[in-house]
Amino acid sequence: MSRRFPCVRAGLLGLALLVAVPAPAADDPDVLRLQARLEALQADPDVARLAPFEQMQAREALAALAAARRAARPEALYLAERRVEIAELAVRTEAARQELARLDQRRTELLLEASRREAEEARREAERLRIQAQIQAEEAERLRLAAEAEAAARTEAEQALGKAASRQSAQLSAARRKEAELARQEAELVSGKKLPPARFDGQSEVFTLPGSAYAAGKGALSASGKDAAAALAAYLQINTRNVRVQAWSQDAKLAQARAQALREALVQAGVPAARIKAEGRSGPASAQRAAEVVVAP
Amino acid sequence: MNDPSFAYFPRRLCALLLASGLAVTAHAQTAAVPELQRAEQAVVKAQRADADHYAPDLLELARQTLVQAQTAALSSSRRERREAAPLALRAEADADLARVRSELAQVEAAVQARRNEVDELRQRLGLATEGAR
Repeated sequence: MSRRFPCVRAGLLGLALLVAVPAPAADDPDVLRLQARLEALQADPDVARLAPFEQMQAREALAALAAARRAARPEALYLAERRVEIAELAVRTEAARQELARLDQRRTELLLEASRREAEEARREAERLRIQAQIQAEEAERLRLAAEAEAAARTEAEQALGKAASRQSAQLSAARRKEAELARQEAELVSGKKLPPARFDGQSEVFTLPGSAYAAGKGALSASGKDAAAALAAYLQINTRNVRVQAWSQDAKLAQARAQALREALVQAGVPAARIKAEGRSGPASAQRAAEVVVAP
Repeated sequence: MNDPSFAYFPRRLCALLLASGLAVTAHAQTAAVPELQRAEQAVVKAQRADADHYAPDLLELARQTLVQAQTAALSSSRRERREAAPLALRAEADADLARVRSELAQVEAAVQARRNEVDELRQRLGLATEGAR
C-alpha cells in the first residue's frame, strides 16, 4: 500500500499544477456569482466562522473553477456549485445547532422555573391549608372558651345572686331579730311583766304560752297568763304587725275560748282588735305550749 | 519443469507484475483512486445522516455516480479509467450535499420542536412569547 503513495502524491501534484494554471476567465460570471454567495457568508460576522471546513472546500472548488481549462470547466462548475451550496447549508446547520443549544438551555431554565413555581405553589397551598386549619382550631378554641366563660359567668352570677340573697336575708333576719329583741326589752320595761319565751319560725316571731297561762280546764287566763298578755300587749304596741292567736285543746270549743280569751286580754290592753285573729286548734295542749301568739313577718 | 523464461527478470519487476495482477480486484483499484475512497466514505456518512429519508434523490444520484466511478476505475480502457476520479469527486460532492441537507432538515425540525416547547412553557408560566431571533 505504502508503495502507491508516491504515485498518489504525484497525481495530486499534477492536479495541483493543473489548478495552479492562471485563471483563464477572472470575470467568469459563474465564478463571480458563486464568489458573491461565499462572500455573503463572510459578510455576516456571526456566520463567517461557522463550518470553516466546508467554506474552505468551497473556496478551493471556486479557485479550481476559476483555473479550470475549458474541457474541465463543466466538471469544475458542477463541483463548485455543489461546494458553495454545501458551505451555505453547513453554515445554516451550525447556526441552527447553536440555536438549538440556546433553546435547550432556555427550555431547561423554564423547566426549572416551572418546577420552582410548582414547588412554591405547593408550599403556598400547604401554608394556606395550615392557616385554614389553624383558624378553624382557633375558632373552635374561641367558641369553647366563650362557652366556658359563659358557663362560668352564669355560675358566678348565680353564686353571687345566691350569696347576695342569702346575705340579704341573713342581714334582714338579724336586723329583724335585733329589732324584736329591743322591742321585747322595751315591752318588759313598759309593762313591768315578763314576756313569754319567743322564737323565730321562719320570718314569724312566735311567743309560746305555757299550760299555766290558763286556769286548768277553763277558757279564762290565769294570773300568769294575764301578766303574759299584758307584756305581749305592750310588745304589740311597739311592734305593730298583725297577730294570730292560736290555742290548743282536745276540745275545740275550749281551744276557741282560750284563743278568744287571750285576744280579748290583748285588745283590752290596747292592741287594736283588727290586728288580731284568734283561732282554736284541736290538738293536745302541753305544759310548755297551751297557746301561741304569732307575730306576722 | 524449470522456469527459464522468468529467470532473467529482476525480482523487482516480478513484484510489479504480481501487483498488476492483483490490481484487477476492485478493492485494489479503488485504493488506487483516492477520490473513490473519499466518495465511498461520503456516501456512508450521508446514509448515517439519514439522507435516504431527507434527501433521497440526491443520495441516489451520488450512489449511481459512485457506481459509475467504480466501474470506470475497473475499466480496461485507459480513457475510461481517467474518468473515475472526476466521477468520484462528483459523487463525493453529491453525497456531501445530501448529508448536509439531511442534517439541516433534522436540526431545523429539532429547533422548531424545541421552540414550540419553549413557547408552550413560557405560556404556561405566563411569560411573553420570545420574539423570533
